[in-house]
Amino acid sequence: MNNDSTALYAFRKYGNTVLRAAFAFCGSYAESEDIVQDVFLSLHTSPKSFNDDEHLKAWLLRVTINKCKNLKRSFRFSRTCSIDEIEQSEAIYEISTEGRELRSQIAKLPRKYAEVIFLYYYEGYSIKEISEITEKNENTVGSLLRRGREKLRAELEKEDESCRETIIKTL
Amino acid sequence: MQRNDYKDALNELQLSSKFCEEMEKKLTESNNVRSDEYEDIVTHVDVIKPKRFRGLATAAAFVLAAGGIGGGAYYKINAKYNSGPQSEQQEYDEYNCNFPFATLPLHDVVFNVCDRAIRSSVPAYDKIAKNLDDFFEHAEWTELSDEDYNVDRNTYAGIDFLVNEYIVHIQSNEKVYVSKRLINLNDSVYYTDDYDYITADGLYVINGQSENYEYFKYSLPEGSYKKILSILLEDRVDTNADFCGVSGSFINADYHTSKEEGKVTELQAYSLSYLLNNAIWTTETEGFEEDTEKEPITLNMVDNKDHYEIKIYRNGITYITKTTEESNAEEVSKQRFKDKDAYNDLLSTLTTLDESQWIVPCPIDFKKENAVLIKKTDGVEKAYLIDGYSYDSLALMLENFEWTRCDDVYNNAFLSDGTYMPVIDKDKIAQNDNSFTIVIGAQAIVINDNNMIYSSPYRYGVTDIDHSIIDVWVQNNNFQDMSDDEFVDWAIDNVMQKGEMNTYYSIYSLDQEAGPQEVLIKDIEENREKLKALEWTKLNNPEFFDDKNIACQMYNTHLSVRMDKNGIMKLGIGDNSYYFSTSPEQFAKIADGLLNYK
Repeated sequence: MNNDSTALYAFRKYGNTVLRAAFAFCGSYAESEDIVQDVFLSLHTSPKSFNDDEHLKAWLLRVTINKCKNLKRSFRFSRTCSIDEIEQSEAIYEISTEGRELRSQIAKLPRKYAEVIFLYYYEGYSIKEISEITEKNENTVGSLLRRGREKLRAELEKEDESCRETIIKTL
Repeated sequence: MQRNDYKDALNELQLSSKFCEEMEKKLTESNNVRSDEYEDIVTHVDVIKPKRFRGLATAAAFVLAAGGIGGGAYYKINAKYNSGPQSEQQEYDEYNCNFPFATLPLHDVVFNVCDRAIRSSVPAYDKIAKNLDDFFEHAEWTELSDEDYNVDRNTYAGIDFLVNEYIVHIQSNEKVYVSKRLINLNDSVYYTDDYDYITADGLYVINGQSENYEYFKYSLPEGSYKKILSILLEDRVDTNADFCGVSGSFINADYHTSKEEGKVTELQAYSLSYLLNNAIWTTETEGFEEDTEKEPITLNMVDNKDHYEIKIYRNGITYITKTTEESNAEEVSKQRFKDKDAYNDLLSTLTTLDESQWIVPCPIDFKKENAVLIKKTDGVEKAYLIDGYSYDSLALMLENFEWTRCDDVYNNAFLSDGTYMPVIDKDKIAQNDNSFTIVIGAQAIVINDNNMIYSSPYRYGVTDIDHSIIDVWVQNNNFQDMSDDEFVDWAIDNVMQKGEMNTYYSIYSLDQEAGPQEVLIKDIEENREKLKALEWTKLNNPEFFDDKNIACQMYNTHLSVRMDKNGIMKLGIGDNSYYFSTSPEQFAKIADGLLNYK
């Protein structure tokens, strides 16, 4: 892989992947946009060689995780991804709005859960591989995955409950 | 939430074309090193030692491409390149497998296999570790409740392995039992949200209660056990014949024994291959007369156009007839294998047995010259001497029984800390008025009327016919009645055996505070004769025996002799006890002598 073209190649191939990972990790459209820029520009600035595409993607995800950690925010709950944000963004758009509700729950997930949930559910990595990427003990990864799932499910059930109540009230 | 829901929700996000255009423009501009927080990205390749160094692996190395802020490193292991830890530049894959109860490294783990005739310890290197990792990761694990999984049976058959604090046992019926010891790991103490806190001594406290063990129970899909076995045994044993000119697969070969007949299954084929291919064979050149007294084990198998008929006799003599389809030519050879247990192992492999059962040779040692029979006559228990011709008949009879060992006398009683201790199941060894005991040397053999023979720690099943034979023999023979004194003398002779290196005796000093002295007696003839010189009489009141004032005690296999300071003896034969007394004054005289030997 030619070092000079690596960043461009990587952006074309994995730009959306990094976007979705950034959103999952930090929960904000605006910040996701910044992170996407930073990730690929840093690769462009400091080129490196990779064995193959998988190696490249893993590196990109690793860097994305680190950049999300650098965000000067202590709790993600203070950041909500509002519909206004996405509608005002020039960098990101929604192909469809069907998953909007789930995305809002994904955005609320604490980062430590968000990372493993994304790597597991979106990227399909095994716990072993997630452990390597996140540098967490495998048992911890398993535990976080379990907790993250429960949290997402709980949030979704709450949303379902409030929707049901609204429906009942309007009947 | 399904995986697709999550993925679909995120896939609805996409970078705008405008954004992409701008980014591509920037990424095609010449590289200018920018001073920002990403300067510390590492670009060189590091060699770092593996986190876990497993005992059986030679030195290995990780090759890493480090990147990201803070030197965070990522390493994606490509299993194709893993060919064993041979050199520093080679990748080492631990094959961390995601079990439902934990993620555990499989590389170098030793798997102990105990299936029918196969006893093998297999270290999981490379290919085996990879294949097991693939299998366990993709297998469907179903968690079982306590009711679904009865672990009371003390069965050791199956596959087990130990990794870190986990012991995993996989049974041939696809049930899996996992016990986890909660320990403080020296090199990577971990703390997860599942535990409240870690105590100072390293115990994990779960929900406020201290636990030393956890255990888990699962079942795997049908066929899993066979698959795991085939992975482990791949390089050691297969299902094909390769002995004495016989070739071809054992699977679906027709077999016939005195007990059963049918077609060889895949699991049976592994054991047949293991036994027959590894046996030490010699070719017999004299005569082709078949032993007609005992029915042989017969196998009929086909390899392409060759047909083999194999007849295996109890004494190891084996006749192999090979018929070639095309020419119809027949070759017959006579072979012999030397392993005396192989015939029974073959018979056990081809017989439908309970998990705890195995066909074995006669377990009794007949190196003595006599035996004692203890049975009830007219409601009174008496001892009879069996010697000379009667003893020879007894030995011949018992040696020719078909013995099936049942390892089910002890059950596992699970304790609150997750460990278990064996507890004898008294119902299985219960005696009644029809039971009788034969004592040969220090071996006690209890024959019950349910075709079971108990000789601690096992009980043995015999056929109806065999049981009838011994029962009739015992009931209809007139054996020499033994007096109490003769009986005790006989017991002393057999528990204090001259030159018996593995017999231990406890001698108590008259000074109670000194406690017992355990010694190994090499030459005890003088002391034995002293005890035999006393006159012993049966005591019907066991309460006279003073358990708190013991003068000496001796144990040998199933016999025990304990004497209190008043000269009262408790003679133990198996689970039964008999009491005898002698003159206290006479006993006191020889007691000093007993205490003074070295």
